[in-house]
Amino acid sequence: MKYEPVIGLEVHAQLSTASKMFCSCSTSFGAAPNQHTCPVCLGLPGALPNVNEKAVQYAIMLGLATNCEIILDSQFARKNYFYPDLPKAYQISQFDRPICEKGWIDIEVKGKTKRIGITRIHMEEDAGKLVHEGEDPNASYVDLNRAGTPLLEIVSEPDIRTSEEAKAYMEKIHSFVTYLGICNGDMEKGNLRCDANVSIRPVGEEKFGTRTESKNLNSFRNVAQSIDAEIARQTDVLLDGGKIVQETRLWDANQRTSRSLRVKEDSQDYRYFPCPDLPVVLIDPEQVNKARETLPELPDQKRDRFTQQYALSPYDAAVLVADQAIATYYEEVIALGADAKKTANWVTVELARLLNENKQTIRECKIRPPNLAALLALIADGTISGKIAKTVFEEAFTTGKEPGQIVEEKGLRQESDQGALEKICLEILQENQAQVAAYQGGKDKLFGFFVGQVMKKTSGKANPKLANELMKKLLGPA
Amino acid sequence: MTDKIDVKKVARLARLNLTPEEEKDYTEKFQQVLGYVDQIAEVVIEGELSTKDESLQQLYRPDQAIDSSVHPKDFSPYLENQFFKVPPIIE
Ligand SMILES: [Zn+2]
Repeated sequence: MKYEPVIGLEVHAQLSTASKMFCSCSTSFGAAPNQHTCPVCLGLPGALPNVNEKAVQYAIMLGLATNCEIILDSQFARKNYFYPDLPKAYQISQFDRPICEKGWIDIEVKGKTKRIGITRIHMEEDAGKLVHEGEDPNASYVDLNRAGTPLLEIVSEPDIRTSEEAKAYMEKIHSFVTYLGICNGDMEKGNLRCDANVSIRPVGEEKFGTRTESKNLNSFRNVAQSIDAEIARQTDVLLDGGKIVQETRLWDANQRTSRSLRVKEDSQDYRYFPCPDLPVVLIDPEQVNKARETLPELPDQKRDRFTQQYALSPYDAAVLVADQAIATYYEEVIALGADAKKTANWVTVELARLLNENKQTIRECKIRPPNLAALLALIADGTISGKIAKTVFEEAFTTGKEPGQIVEEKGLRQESDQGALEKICLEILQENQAQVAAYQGGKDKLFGFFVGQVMKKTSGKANPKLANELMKKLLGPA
Repeated sequence: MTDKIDVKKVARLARLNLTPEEEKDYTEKFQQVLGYVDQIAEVVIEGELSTKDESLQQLYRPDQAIDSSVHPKDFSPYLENQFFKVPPIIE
């Protein structure tokens, strides 16, 4: 039997506000344990929550960006469960009236666009942090600095069918929240995290199978790998005549395997009810209009503009706009007069490779837009060849030196002097008479050998176009 | 009348181990509480209850970080290295 996966993602974005969702405690990272606390986020009796204006504004922005309907009278609800990182024994969340509903985003997979529905986006507070490695091995430790940090949970429709689509969806959400500046998007730090609901059903079947929820997916790769592993696991269980248990599973990125964490609780087990401490979240329609007008250019719009304005392929444009900082970097290089297509190649290939290898972000990169523009100018005016440019680029990446300075210091200037090159070519012909005879006898494939020798003799500095022309002339027809 | 409450399940959600006597006791108490809810449900009201009462308007707080000066290290006896120490949680 052939099965089809049905996948829905729940993404949690930690909002980059200065203060917490319901109290004025700082959200900054790195303080001593239990330092950013107050009666509200400690859950002390009598303390009352007070909604952070900016968190609501951020929710509206993301809702608009993802084509959601903004609910003008949404409501906070209590989600009740017992866990040591949850001091009140309930999390303030939203249940039947979230702030945003019924949206969608488009993802691109294998050159095709697919629309993924957004069921809802709701506001909630984060829990504290549990630490298991302390002095006493028979104890756990709780830090409540994170408790009460504002989160947006973005729930997708079960429209996703492959791990590739899930990854593309996650990347899209990442680019949206970072473009909007509402979340720093750092997945390793857990500022953007994802739970994947996965089920499988026989192809052609309408009804969904029993789903499991995989938690702890803190990178795009983990999202894809855990989903593939879960699809394989469920398929094995069903083919063996077993049954899928509705459960929460924990993904172990190192072992590339998941294990059952607990039997998943139904929403009724959380005994949701409207939070009596918080009135309805009333939003002025004027505020929504204003937010709509002030939305920044979003990734899809930027991609379309790049393809038109710079005549880029949709693929190159999509790669460039995936990270707003890269897109900005790219446009800064263009603004300095560099060729749009060539700049795109350098940014998406060489620069991306070095950033990746060195685990650097574009902001940390020592090659700033004026440096790359200068390098491209050196190629354009024939000072260096494209091949040498890569060496210069790597050197500039490591040292932060001006490309022009590197070329001078290392003597990397391209040899374009016809007389000098011709002399070298003649030497090579002199030294390789057997090959010359073979070439002239019809072995025309040897041409590459001669040009290669020129490059070798000049340490790669010969102008390749000129070297070709000269060799052709000197060797005569094959 | 409200459905009979599943005390065993509620106890599991609350991470409580109940003795059979306690189970019986809580079942009765829960039924009493639910009885009050049934009483409230019997109240006849005109029209629909509104949540949009002006007096219930949400008051928002500007996003400003302010130290509360209420820190567990000043009053909690349950700390170790400033962390709350709790029974081991095994995931
Ligand atoms: Zn607080």
